[in-house]
Amino acid sequence: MYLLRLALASLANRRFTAFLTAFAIALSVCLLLAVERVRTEARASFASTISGTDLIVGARSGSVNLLLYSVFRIGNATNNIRWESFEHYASDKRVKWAIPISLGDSHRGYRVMGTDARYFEHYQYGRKQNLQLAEGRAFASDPFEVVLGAEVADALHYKLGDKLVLAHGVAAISLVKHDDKPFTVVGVLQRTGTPVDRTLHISLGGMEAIHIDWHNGMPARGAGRISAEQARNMDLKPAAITAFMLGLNNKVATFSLQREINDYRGEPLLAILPGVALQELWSLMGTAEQALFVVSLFVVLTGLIGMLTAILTSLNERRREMAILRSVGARPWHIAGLLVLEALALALAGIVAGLGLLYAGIALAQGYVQANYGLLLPLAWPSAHEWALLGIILGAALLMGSVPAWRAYRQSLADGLSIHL
Amino acid sequence: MSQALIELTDLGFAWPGQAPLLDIPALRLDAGESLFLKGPSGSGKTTLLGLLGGVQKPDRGSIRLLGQDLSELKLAARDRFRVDHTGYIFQQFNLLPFLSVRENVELPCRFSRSRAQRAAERHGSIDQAAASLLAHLGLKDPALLARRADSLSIGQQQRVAAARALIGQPELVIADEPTSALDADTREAFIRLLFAECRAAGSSLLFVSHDQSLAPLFDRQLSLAELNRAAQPGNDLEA
Repeated sequence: MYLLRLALASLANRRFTAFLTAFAIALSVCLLLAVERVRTEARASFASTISGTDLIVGARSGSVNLLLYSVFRIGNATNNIRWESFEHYASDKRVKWAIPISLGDSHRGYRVMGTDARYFEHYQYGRKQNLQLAEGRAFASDPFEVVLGAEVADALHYKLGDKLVLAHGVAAISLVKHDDKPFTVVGVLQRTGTPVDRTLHISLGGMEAIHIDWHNGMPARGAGRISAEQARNMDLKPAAITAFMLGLNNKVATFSLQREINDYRGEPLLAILPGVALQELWSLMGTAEQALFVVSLFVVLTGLIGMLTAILTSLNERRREMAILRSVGARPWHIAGLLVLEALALALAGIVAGLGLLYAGIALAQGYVQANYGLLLPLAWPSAHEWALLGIILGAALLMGSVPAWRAYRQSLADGLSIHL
Repeated sequence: MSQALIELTDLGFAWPGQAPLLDIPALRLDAGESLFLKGPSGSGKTTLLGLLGGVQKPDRGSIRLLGQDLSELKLAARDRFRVDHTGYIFQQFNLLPFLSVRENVELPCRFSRSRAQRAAERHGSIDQAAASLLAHLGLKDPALLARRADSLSIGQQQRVAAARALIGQPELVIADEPTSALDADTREAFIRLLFAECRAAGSSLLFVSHDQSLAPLFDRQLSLAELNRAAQPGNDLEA
């Protein structure tokens, strides 16, 4: 105990260096834990981008590709599927609900998705949460109504009643616009932290209406054009959609229905289980996540090496301290113990301060991160995994502290009682 | 005749790879005696003190402290033996600057149970022992005890170092040029205080210095250069 008192008093005497050393460790510990929390949460949040949906069905391609365009609005479908195929499965006895999705247009870089009222009723994300309207209402019978995702509304400063024009295709700058048929904002969804926030939702009828006078990917000219008013009075039942989502009455039927859809004779279809495809996708991104973790581990190592350097540098100027201690009866192992305790005290101070920084940071950034990235960083007590990491850091500090301890041990044996000026 | 406290016999020592530094046929210090050992720097005096402290082992011959041959003890036992029976005062900067005056004085009691016991037996408690020793050495102000050691003047620091060497009544006090940082007036006063306290504690004093003017104050004086055959000019030439 007295050794600890000596170690702390000696550290306090070098408080500026000690503070910086502990601070460097604190920052690195904070970074490691922050990365760890974001990683855990990002994985959980990624896995909950979509929930409650048992199968996603699209044209035959790859499962990750289908997941990317249908859920994450990344990339494009290789092919459309026929409306009849959707109706065939939507009316299947095993199916509780079905949501059609039609993609392909955009608005200032944000994707437009055609769907119908079932989307707002059944689509779920996170822990089985339904979509909620922040203001306004869902689109109704008029085809030229749009419901915005939260981020779209925020970023482009749209409010209810605003008119906007959709662009053909998904390029950020599109030369071909559906400017003859503007849409009215009727609703804005609450933030979900999922790709829904970055989507403009229109009805399938609206999607059909803006393409009704198009042939071979180009709008008709002159007399061939159909005005918005004319379109309103036409039959806007789509001939094709991009994909659809299914919720089943009984989860047990998922695999048999998946097999059935994959063998569908009408056209080549692909049905995927969102959970499995998400896993596949995450394993692709896992490398980056691992890299981040490894980098933060190295930052911790750097912090500890900083400590090692600080202690080693101090050894020479503390030979007098050691000699005095030897002259009053301290054994060489006391001197070694003093340095190990010093390293432990620094690491412990760093860890405690690092935890403090982490919690302060989480408390400050929690709201912002959740609003903007959909990540709920919990202000929770460290998990078993985090405790283990902290334990490893302390162990590494102990190991590193034994280096100057060994040197001081040798030094104090050699120096004995002679005081070097 | 009183009991021998230190008894060196036919001592030889050389640092590895160097010429013999010490070759002392005999040196003896009696209990309660004060001995002035004159040694200019480089005469092997620091090495001799290291040998007496059991930090180094002699190549040849024996060192007996209180009848105990230091060479027969293991390293840890020598360390314990040293602190139990010897108090040290160095040239200057004797104190740990980050501890209070009181804590500095009490340091030997933290590492030696027998000195802690003796201090407590004589003065009631270790704290009282420290306060009483400091008071005898002219540091009477109780507020001073709590001050950081490096806030004191050099002269005061040396007196604190003396109190530390004397706490728990070690049989031997070794002082290595303790007065070289003091001016002439305080020098003699310091030595008289040291004598008085050594006498009160029953400690022998081995005082090493190159300052011949202090020698008459001691019971006995020796010159390391004369004592040490390895330091004689003839040997130098051979080496």
